[in-house]
Amino acid sequence: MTVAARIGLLTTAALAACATGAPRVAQAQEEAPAVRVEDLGADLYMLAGRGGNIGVSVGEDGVFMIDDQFAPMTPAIADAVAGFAGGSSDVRFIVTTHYHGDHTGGNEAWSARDAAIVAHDNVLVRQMDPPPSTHDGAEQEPHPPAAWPIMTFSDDVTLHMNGETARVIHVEHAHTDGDAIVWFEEANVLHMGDAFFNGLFPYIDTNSGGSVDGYVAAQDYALGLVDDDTKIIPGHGPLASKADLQTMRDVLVDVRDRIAEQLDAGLTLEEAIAADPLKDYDEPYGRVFIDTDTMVRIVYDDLAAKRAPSD
Amino acid sequence: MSMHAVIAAAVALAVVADEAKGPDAPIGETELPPDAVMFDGYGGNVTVVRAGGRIVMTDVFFPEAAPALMNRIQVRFGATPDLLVNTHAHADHIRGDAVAGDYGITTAAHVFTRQRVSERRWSKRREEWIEARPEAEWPTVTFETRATLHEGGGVELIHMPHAHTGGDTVVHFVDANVVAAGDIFWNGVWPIIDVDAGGSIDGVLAALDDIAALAGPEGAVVPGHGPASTANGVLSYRNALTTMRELAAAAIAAGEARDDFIARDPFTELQPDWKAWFVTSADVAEMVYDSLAAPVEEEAVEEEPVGEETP
Repeated sequence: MTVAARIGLLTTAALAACATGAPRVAQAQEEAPAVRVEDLGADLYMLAGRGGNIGVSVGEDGVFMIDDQFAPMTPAIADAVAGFAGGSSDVRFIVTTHYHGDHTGGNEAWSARDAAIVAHDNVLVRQMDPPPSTHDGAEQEPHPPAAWPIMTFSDDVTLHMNGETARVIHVEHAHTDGDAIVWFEEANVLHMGDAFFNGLFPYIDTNSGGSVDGYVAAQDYALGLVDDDTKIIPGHGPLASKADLQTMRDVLVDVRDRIAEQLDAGLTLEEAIAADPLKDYDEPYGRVFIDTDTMVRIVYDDLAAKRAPSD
Repeated sequence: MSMHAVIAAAVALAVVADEAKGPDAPIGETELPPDAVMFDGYGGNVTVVRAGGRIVMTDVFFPEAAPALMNRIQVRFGATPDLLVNTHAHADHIRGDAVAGDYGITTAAHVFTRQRVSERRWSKRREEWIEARPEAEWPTVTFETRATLHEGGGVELIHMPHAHTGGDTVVHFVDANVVAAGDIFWNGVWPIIDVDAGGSIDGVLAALDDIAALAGPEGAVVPGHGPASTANGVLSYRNALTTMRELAAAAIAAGEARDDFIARDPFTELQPDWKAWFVTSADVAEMVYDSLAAPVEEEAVEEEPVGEETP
C-alpha cells in the first residue's frame, strides 16, 4: 500500500476541519466511520477514525487517552476502548495535544463522563478565543467551557499510570503554541500530536502561535528521544517509525530552505507561489490536506515575518 | 544526637516535643470562610477547599491518622476530595497518600517529590542506600513549574525551588483566597530547612515573599505546622529568618567554625516564644549555616537526587 493510499483513510472533510478549532456542524451530520485499533503492545493502543490519531493506555490505574477526535466519534471510540479495557469505557484522564477541533471534539462528552482533561496552558487560551484559521482564514467560534481542560500546565507534566511513565512534554511554537507530545519511556511509544504529519505536508498554524522553526525543533527533539524500535503515533497518517519522522523532518527543512532562498532572491509571495518550488513534493505530500501553494504561503509568511524589522 | 537524626526521629515518629501531636491526637478544625478548612493533627497541617465543583486537599497526615481525617472531611464537605496535592516529600505530609489512594483520590506533587519517595538513593551522610517507599505512597501526577486546576477561580500549584526541600509546592486557592504554604512556613515553631533534600534558606526567603504576595492583605495562609495565619504573619516570619540568615552569613564571613556557631546557639534569644516541636534553635542555626556554607546546585529533573534521608 502506498503512503498516499494509506493516508486516503483520512477523509478530506476530516482534514479540512483540522484547520479549524471548533468541530464543524457538517461533521456532526455525517455518519461516524469505524474506529481502527492498533495494538502497540504494553497495553498501549492507537485508534484511527475521523480526526487526529488517538493513543490509549489501559491498566490497573485506569484508562488514559490522548486526544478524542470529533464529537460524533465518541460512541465508536468508547466501544473501541471497552473492547480492550475489560469491557469498561471509563476514561480517567485525557491529554489534549493541542486545541484543534479534530483533537478536542470529544472533550465535552468525555468531561461529562468524569474524564479529567489535561493540556498545556495555551490550549485553554486558544479554546476561549481562537484566531482565524491559518489554513483558510475562516473565523472560529470559541469552544464551549465544557470542552476546556480541567487542568493545565506551564511546561511539562507526567502521568504515572499503568506502570508507565507518560511524560507530557510541551514543545514550543510548533504546530500551535500549546502543543504537547507524550513520551511513554518504558513502552517506547511516542504520541506527537500534530507536531508530526506522517506522509503529508504538516499544517503549521501560525495564527495560533505555530512556527516553521519551532516545528523543526520539536521534531529534532523527538528524534533525540526515540530509537529504531520506537512506535510513533503521528497526529495524522499511519503509525510511524523513527525513519518516517526523519523523512518528514528532512522534507520540512528542505521546504524551509527552498522558500528562504526565494525570500533571499526578493520574490513576493505571489511570485514565490507561482514558481511552484515544492512541485516535486506534491505527490504524495500535497495531495491530502495542505497543498503545495498553501505550504508555500504558510512557510513564506512565517519566514518573512521573522525577517521583518521588529519595530 | 545530630540535627539530622533529630529530624528523622521527630518527623517520622513525632515523639520528641511535648506539644507535637501523636497518633491519638484529636483533629483540630479551623474554618477559613467561605468554604475552606485547615485540619491539624498527627502530621503536617491539611488544607481542604471546595473549588467550583471539586474538592482539593493539600497533604494528608500520617497513615495512622488519615482515615479519621477522611471521615472529618466527608462530614464537613459532604464528599471525598477529588485531588490531593503533596506539598513536599516528608513523611508527615505524604505517607497518608496510600490511604487517599484507597478513597480513589488522585494525588499530585512536584516531580522531585515523587522522585524522593519512589527512587532508591544513596545517602552521603549516612553512607548507605535508602530504599524507596511503597508504591502506594507515590503521587500519580507530577509537574515541573506550575499547574492549574480550572475549578472555581482556579487552584494554582506552584513549584518553589530549593525552599524547605527541592520539591516544594505552594497551592493557591484563588476564589477561597487561601494559600497552603507547606513547610516553607512554620508558624511559631522552630522550622526545618532540609538542605540535604535540596532546601535552602535563600529559597525559603524568596518563597515566603511569593506566598505573602499571593495571599494579599485579605488572604489566609496555612503553614505546614502551627496555627493558620496571614500575609503579615508570613512576612514577620520572613523577617525573623532574614535576621538569622544575616547572623549565619556574618559568622561564615568572620571564619567562625560551624561547631562553634551551633554551640553558642545564636538564635535562641531571637524568638523565645517559638516552640521546639521538632527541632531546637541550635538545630536551625546548623541548617542555616550549612545552607549558606554549601549552597545547593541547580539540579536537572533527570538527575537522581542524592542525599540524606528525610522521612
